[in-house]
Amino acid sequence: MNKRAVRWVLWIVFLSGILAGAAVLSLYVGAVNISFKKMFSSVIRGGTGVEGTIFFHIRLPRVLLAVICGGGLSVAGVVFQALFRNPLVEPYTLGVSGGAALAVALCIIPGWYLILPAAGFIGALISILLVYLVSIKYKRWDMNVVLLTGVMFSFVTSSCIMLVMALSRTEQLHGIIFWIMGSLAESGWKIITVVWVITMIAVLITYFFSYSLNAISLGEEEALHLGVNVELVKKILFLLASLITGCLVAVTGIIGFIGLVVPHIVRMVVGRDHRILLPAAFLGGGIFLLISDTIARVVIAPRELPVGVVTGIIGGIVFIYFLAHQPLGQGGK
Amino acid sequence: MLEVKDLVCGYPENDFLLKEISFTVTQGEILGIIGPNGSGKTTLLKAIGRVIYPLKGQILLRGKEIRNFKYKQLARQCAVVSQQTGENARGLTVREYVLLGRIPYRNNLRLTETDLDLRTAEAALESADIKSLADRDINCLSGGEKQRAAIARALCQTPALLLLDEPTSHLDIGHQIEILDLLKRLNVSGLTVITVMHDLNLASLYCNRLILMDEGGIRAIGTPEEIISKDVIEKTYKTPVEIIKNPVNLKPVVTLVAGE
Repeated sequence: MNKRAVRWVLWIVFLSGILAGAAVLSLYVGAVNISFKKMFSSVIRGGTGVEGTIFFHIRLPRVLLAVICGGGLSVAGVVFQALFRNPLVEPYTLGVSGGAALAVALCIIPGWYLILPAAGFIGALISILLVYLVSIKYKRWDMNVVLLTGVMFSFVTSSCIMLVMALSRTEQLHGIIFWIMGSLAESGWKIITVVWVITMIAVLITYFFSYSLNAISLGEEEALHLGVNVELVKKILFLLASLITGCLVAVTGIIGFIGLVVPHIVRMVVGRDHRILLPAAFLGGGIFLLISDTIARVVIAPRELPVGVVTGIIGGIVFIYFLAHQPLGQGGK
Repeated sequence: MLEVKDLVCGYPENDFLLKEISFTVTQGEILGIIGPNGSGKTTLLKAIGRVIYPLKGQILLRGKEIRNFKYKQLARQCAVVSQQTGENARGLTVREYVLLGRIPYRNNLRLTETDLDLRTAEAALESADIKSLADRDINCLSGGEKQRAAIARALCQTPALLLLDEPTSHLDIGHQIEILDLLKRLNVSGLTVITVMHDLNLASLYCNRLILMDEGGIRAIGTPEEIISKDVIEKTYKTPVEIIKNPVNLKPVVTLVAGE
């Protein structure tokens, strides 16, 4: 059993190493070619010159946002998949992203660009609360009801967004579509700090529920018999994971696929115990989005690909590869 | 050890309720719950395991109402092997699966298992006689082995009371006897067992006392000799039977009589 603890620590060290490597690479490459030496000396001197500006105001914020966004969405995906015991659920399934997108679309029409993150966050919160309140009236909080409510809510919001788009002018339409595609660019330090603090607090609290998540993966009744206050734990974890999703979506828009694919890949690699699965998913998600965003930035520089395109293509291919190479006996039901 | 007083519970929205059930379970016995399909056996077991709450009446475990137990406290006293146990377990070795039974003893801030956790799990594997399977994938076990693993996980909770819901369904006669012998052994070493039984003859063979349920109420409580009689069984199950005696231990055996 101690061997397992050692293996877990090695995984964390290994993934942290890759994340650090990917971060350095991502800070180094970009539309403007800067030699490593110049970049380094500028950073040492506290960010002077053009190199310093590019480093501290463009690349570093972007890297930090990619890490927290990839990590947070993956953790939220792990939690949702465990709560619903459904491998197809992802952070956006329950309409959190739809609510955020609708609020953003409504703010783009009058041209309120500055409040977009706040509007997205409020839209996400409203959708969480609606799904929660509609499904809670049953005596037991049935996760299937939650799932269906969320999916239906998601349909309603996407129809509303289509309506808004149909009625909007070309440049507004462009803004809405651009936001929905998701992007890690153009975020100030203030917003990044807020996102990091909220997401990290929620992720850390979630981690203390590792045992409960292990138990709930077996089924709610079994978790109850193992001494887990299932009804309470479900609510706390649902709200935490939704909060993470809402706060990330508000800032980056809808970057798909991470919350669905990363949990699966990480689960195949490190196992199903949430004590290792949660931190490994956080690191894995950070790595995945960081690399995807770096690719999106450089392939057709100085223009950029939408990062969601890259996550979708790479994520899908990597996932199919892992699925095909999965050892027998662990396949999905 | 367990006292059920005037218990009314069930599913009012589906019009199914248990009718004022009262009985006591003494320390160290194997109590079987039998009865036709839909008579409320599983509902009663769920009430004792606190999956559903009583609408009226009380369930006392060692003199204390179970609704007043904290979640972990109850799980340390009472373990449950339901018909769904182990259904969702995937990608775990048998040992990891059994170790999940230590969750009621875990401190949320402690990430690794304590020595006590590990020793208890090994002892549970040993009692359930599946030590040799400990490193196998839980999904690669046969039905009988899986049932043993589920019992081992329950034992890992070191409970005083073990509840089981039809532990021998879907097993062949050899494995049925194997599981019930295991329960008997655990019972001899001090565990109190309440089990829902489908098979009347196995219930007669292994249980000290039987509760016969019918239409949400208790029709009779007593020793197998008292309960398994032509009269009572025919009335409850609404099918003709003949009762004979097991030639080895003289326990009553139900034989079925085919209709015309």
